[in-house]
Amino acid sequence: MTQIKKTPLNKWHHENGARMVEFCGWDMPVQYEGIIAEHKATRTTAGLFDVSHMGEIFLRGPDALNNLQRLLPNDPSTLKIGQVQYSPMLTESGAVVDDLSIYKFSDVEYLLCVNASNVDKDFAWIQSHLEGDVTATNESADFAQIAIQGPKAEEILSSVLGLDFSELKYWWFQKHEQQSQELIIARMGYTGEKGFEIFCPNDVAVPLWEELMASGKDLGIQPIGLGARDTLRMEVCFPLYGQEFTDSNSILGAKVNRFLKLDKPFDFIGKKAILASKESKDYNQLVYLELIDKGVPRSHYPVINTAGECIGEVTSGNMSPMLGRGIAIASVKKDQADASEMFIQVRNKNLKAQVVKGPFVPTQK
Amino acid sequence: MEIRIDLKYTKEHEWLLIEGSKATLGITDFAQSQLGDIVYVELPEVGTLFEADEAIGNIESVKAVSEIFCPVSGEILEINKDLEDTPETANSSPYDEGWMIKVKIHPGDLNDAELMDEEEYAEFVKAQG
Repeated sequence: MTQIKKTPLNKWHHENGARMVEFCGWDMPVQYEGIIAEHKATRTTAGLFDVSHMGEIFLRGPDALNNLQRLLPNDPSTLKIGQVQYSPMLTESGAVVDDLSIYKFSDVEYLLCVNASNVDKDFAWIQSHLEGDVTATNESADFAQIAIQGPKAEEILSSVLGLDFSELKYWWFQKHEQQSQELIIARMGYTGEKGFEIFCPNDVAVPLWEELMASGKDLGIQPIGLGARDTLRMEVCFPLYGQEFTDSNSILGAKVNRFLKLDKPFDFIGKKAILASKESKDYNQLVYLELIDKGVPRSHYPVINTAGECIGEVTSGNMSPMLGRGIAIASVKKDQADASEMFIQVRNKNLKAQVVKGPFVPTQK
Repeated sequence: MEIRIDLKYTKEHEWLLIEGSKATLGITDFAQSQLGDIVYVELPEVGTLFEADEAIGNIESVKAVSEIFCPVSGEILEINKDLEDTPETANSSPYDEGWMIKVKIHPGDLNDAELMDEEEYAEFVKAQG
């Protein structure tokens, strides 16, 4: 048994009323005050998230970009220094190894921020596919990561760091030196709210976190656990690896087609498989369902069409704290995905749901 | 955590207020705190007959779904309709406004039902934590 991992903020969570759970080998807060209160605080004021469990993998060398071009279906050649891009990472068969963010530091240095559950798998995968003059290093242990999200996030972060972020665009980052420690501050997030994700050295995490909490106190900032992180991302239809993406599901129906650059001049890993399933149309499609009947959808609940046939299952579901209604992301057969009404089977009862375009709650940028 | 002296408790963390052949049932303060935010309570129809330890309802919190059990067989007399619109009452007032079901039972069945008094339940909860 490997020992459970702790972020630099672990002690803070324990001392501040967090209910802790094991998540991907990490001892993480699932909630503090309560999931709904934390969810609403993030939507109305600001929420602070410890996301230090996320992984950081660097690619450095003159061939870094060419390797990313082969490893990823998106096109990082369009990135400018200081810009961030989202991309899935695929296997030859088109299944998802992980989904990640690419940060361009320079023409010869890129950071990949990956899911905690996949760090070791991703690193091994990347290393085994590298070619030419490039090195990959897994520097996950050297970084903490804090996200601040919500309408008041910018005001709080600006006042703590003494910086003006009005010029920093969505999906861009800037570096900031503070007492010879480097912070990487990106305007992005996983909640649908305005906000930032900050990479910092481990020993900066607690003082930075405490300053943000203190500075945001009067505005209503709250620490947010993994429970609300999940309901927040679900309301804005952000996919989660392991739920919407799995090693065995095709990426084609996952509503991320704008990140699959089939026309770029690189045969990226997984391209052949994508083209083949595009041709055959034999894949599952994600749909967004809002319950009309009362109930709470959960992962793996069956999805039924109006003819009573099972056409797929829920990949993520819960009660939407903002709508007060059951919402679900579901994976259904491609040829059934255009229906306007479906049923979610909850304990042998078919609850009526409306297919919606999504997101369930509007995103702020 | 509140445990009340006038109630009986089950290992599933329900409380029962027993008044002759009538019992009121809800979940304990410990149970609501473990479940977290309760967002939906699914209760049976009045008149439903049920067996001992049969699931007679479901409590959905943001985190999970859990079943409601009654330790003895009986019939549903009344359900707390207010929980339909305000399920969070089961969090804020688990022993009063957050009650769930009133049932008709045979008082004699209770002897075999392994119910706990408040002291035994406090011990039981402690052993769980």
